[in-house]
Amino acid sequence: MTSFLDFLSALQYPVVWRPFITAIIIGIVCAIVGVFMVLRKLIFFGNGIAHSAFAGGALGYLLGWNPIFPIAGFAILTAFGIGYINKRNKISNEIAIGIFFSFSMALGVLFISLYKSYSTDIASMLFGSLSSIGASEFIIILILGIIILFLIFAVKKELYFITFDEELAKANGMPVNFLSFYFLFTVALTIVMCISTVGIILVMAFIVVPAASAYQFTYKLNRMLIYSTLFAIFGSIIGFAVAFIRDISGGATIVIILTLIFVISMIISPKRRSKLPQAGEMCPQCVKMVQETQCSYCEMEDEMEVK
Amino acid sequence: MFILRNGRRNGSEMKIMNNHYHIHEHHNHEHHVEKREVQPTLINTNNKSPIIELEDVSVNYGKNIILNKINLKIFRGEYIGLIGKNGSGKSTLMKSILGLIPPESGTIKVFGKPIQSEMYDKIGYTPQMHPIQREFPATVGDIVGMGLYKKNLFKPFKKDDIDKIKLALHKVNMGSFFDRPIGHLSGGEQQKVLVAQALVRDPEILLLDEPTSALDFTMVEDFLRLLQDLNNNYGLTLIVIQHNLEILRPYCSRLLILKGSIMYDGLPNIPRADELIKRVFLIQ
Repeated sequence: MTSFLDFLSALQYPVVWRPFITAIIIGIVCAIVGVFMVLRKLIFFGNGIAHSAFAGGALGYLLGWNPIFPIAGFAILTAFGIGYINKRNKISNEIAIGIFFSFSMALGVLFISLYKSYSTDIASMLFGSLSSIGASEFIIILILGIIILFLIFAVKKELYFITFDEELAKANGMPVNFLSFYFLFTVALTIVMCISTVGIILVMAFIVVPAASAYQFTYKLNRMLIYSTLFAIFGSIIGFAVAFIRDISGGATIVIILTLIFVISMIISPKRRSKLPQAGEMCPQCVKMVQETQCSYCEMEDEMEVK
Repeated sequence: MFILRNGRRNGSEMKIMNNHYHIHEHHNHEHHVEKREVQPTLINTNNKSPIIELEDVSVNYGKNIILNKINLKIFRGEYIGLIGKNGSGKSTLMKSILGLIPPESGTIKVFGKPIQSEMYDKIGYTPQMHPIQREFPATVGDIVGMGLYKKNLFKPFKKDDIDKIKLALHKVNMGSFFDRPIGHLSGGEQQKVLVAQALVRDPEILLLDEPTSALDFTMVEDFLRLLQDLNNNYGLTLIVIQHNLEILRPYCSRLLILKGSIMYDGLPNIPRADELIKRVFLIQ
């Protein structure tokens, strides 16, 4: 049986380090984008984009093109389409996403049925194939990852504001519509980056789970971004190592590890503990270390007891 | 010239800056609900041009007429109480002034011009209170700091902005709450934080949509007194939407009663205002 040491020594080979580093890059990018998606409650929206990408990929295979381009086209069009409907307030977001979601899946199935021979590439689009990543794909993912992180951090505080309250941001003169579409574009790009490696079904787990875990520990955005990234890196390293040792699917194993992290986070979350913080613990009110039984910083002993 | 501030002083304590005054007669405007009353309104003519001016402003939601030909001039330093029943268009009027809801017809000018991006630096706004996610990752300081984002758009936050945030919190007596998670504050405290968020960039106009809805009775008076101080000490022009009109009346210098169109525009404490309030709110 392969041991952890075998895994470490195998990392010298491109066929191993390339998917390993890819998993970490995807983990980091999804963790950062995921923080804003979780806070803005756009998870279903992300699912809609991911499933629309399936139609793009199927069209690519049908026409014999590199699927990345039709995937990107469908994902970005869906993101803007749903975003536009949302802004027009004509129908609810859920309905719009549900329609886009099922329509693009139907379109994808139609394209596959027109594609006479079965291709494993189509299956890998659904479930991803981390281990089969080539050098060119690795470069594309690396570049896309850097672009997405740059796009997010360039407008981090502005995104934070519209995440808190869009109307208030608008009344403060913030370019809310531009920022909303900008963010949707970034989400679409993130999903495009992940499709070939983790697949349509699992991509949302990479986006949601680390951010949701980080949410359990902090009341500060920057800390949430850091924790989410650390959870994603940890989950990617451990998940990939386990997958290599047990010879199982890398993407799926990482998602399982990330989910375990989330469950543990829920259990030990200081936000969810109702008892008074003890000395040396974190105060759930002000997130500072408690010196005695009462938090000397916010002095909220009574209120904490009630909660 | 004459300036009237804080009508609760009932004349004797009113600040009379000069010994002239000007009575402004509004024109009648036809309205689908009720005709607008002609009321004498004491206006501040120290400043030649109004800080906010609405001309024949109408706003529709589909076929529903929300605001019908509103004509309004608001002058620097006024403390305006805006009252009306639910659905009378109070929030719509405020959002139209802010440019959040474009009017169907008519013109809105703020600082003498149609609202433009750079004007938001001079206007503070606190929306109607809605629940803030309890675990939202933001401290009070973060939320107040958002009021400075427009000035630093796409630029890093400056260190000296922290002092401005602390000063704004101090103005609303929330100085010690800087590091507290926003979701853990009571509704009233959250409302004060949102007011600090509006004050942080030293606005000239402050628009508050039901700022006391989450406050208990004892806090409401304190809060309105606080607004009065801001009006007196910082020269802020205030427009405050308030449901409990009897609480607001002693503090504001000018009362607007809205019911699709402006039913009353004048002093808050005269018998005519009482009569209109009874009629609009169907008080027996």
